[in-house]
Amino acid sequence: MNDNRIILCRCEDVTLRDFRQAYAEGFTELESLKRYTGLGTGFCQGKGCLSEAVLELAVLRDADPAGIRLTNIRPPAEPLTFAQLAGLDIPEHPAQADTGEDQS
Amino acid sequence: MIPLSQGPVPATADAVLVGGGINGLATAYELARRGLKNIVVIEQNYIGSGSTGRCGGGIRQQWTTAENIRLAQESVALYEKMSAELGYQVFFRQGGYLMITESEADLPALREAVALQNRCSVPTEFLQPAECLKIVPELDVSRLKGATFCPRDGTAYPFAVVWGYARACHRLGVKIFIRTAVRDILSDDGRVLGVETDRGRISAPVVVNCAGPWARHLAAKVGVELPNRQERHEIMVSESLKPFLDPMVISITNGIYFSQSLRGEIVGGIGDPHEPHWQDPADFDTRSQLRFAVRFARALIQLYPRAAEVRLMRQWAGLYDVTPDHRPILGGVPGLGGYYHICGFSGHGFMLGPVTGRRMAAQITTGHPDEIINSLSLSRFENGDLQTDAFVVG
Repeated sequence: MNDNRIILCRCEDVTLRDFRQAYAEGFTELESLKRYTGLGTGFCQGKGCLSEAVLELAVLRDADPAGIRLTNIRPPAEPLTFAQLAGLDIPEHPAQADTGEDQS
Repeated sequence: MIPLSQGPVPATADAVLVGGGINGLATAYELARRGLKNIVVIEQNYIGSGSTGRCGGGIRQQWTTAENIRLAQESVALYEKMSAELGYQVFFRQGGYLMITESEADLPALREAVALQNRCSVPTEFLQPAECLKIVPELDVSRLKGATFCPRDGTAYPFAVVWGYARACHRLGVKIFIRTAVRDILSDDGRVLGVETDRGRISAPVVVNCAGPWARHLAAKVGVELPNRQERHEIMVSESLKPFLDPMVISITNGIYFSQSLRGEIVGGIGDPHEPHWQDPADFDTRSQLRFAVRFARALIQLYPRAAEVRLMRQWAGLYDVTPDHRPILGGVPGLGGYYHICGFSGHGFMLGPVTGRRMAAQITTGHPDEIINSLSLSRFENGDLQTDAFVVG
């Protein structure tokens, strides 16, 4: 099937061809593919496309998908409005209020 | 294309740059452009993965010391031509910088800064609060006391800048290795001999430490003590909106800054005096904090009430490599030939990296003294020759 008609990331309209082309241009890791194509940066924040992207990257690399490094998962889990965030009842200056996993 | 070198690292090079961010890549490009051959860039993670790729992308000339203004002016001149020079679209856009204050007490300093910038040919103007509405129509100016605006300041997309430099480096024969760690700098008898990486040794007469937050740790391997400390700073992007915001808005009162990217996202952060700082890489903690998102949201809505219903998509953190006077540390050190550092940008590496890379490459290849590099040398901390800029914000 025409890879330009297969949508890999529905939020940001990234096709399979876009993804393959970016890989061919040297963006060989998911972190860089994300920043070059926009994949995984839309409303679902990659929930709908990252697993597909891993499988495709495994094919491109002829490698085991289990060995493919995922992008860092950034908070929030779901987009929140600034009004929702501003209204949260949390102190502005405690020492510990971690939300995230990013540790690279 | 991002040309990455595969296989083992070369046994010898004419120069090794440690760090694949703006400083390492811009300096490698400038060295290669001056005819140096066999240049190698070593990046521990991926291109732009350190402070460069985590930054807000702002480039401003509004400073309060002549030296900072001059460096920033030169940098803006490079950014204006960068897409053409590198043959790569870096999305540099001059929407200006609007610096605002909520304090009457800041106004004399703002007016003085405008006068100094004007003397340096930077076209900044002082604005009354109501005049800010001509630049950002829906800004809530009710608490503002004054502002300054320079229409020639701007933003660029940090990743595109490092990708562009990487491509241009490749055309000039520079080898770039990612996922490669520099474990040691080798030296003997007052000369640098090369680096030891986790993929082998590279002998080289020139080693440039462009490792950003890791520069202090690396410099210590050859006995160079940097006073830098590393601070976590957080940032976020919103969903994409149609274009509504030309400039970067930055408050010298609470440290919030925000601009709109060419994808339409609001990109912004806010300074936080309660954030921790470190000196040992083992302690670095770049996890995101919920309280950052809350503080940013409150400050944004206060300044731009219509943003209340806009959604925050993603937040992340990066490290500033901060020096005691918030100015970078450039040059070499006495008694260690071939060793150079380009570090300590204190949150301003993306805006200054192109010009500091150019000046450092000229000094490394010609040996000619450079007054700005001399002024920014490590020895200034011993000599007490410190200048502080009042506009360190965010």
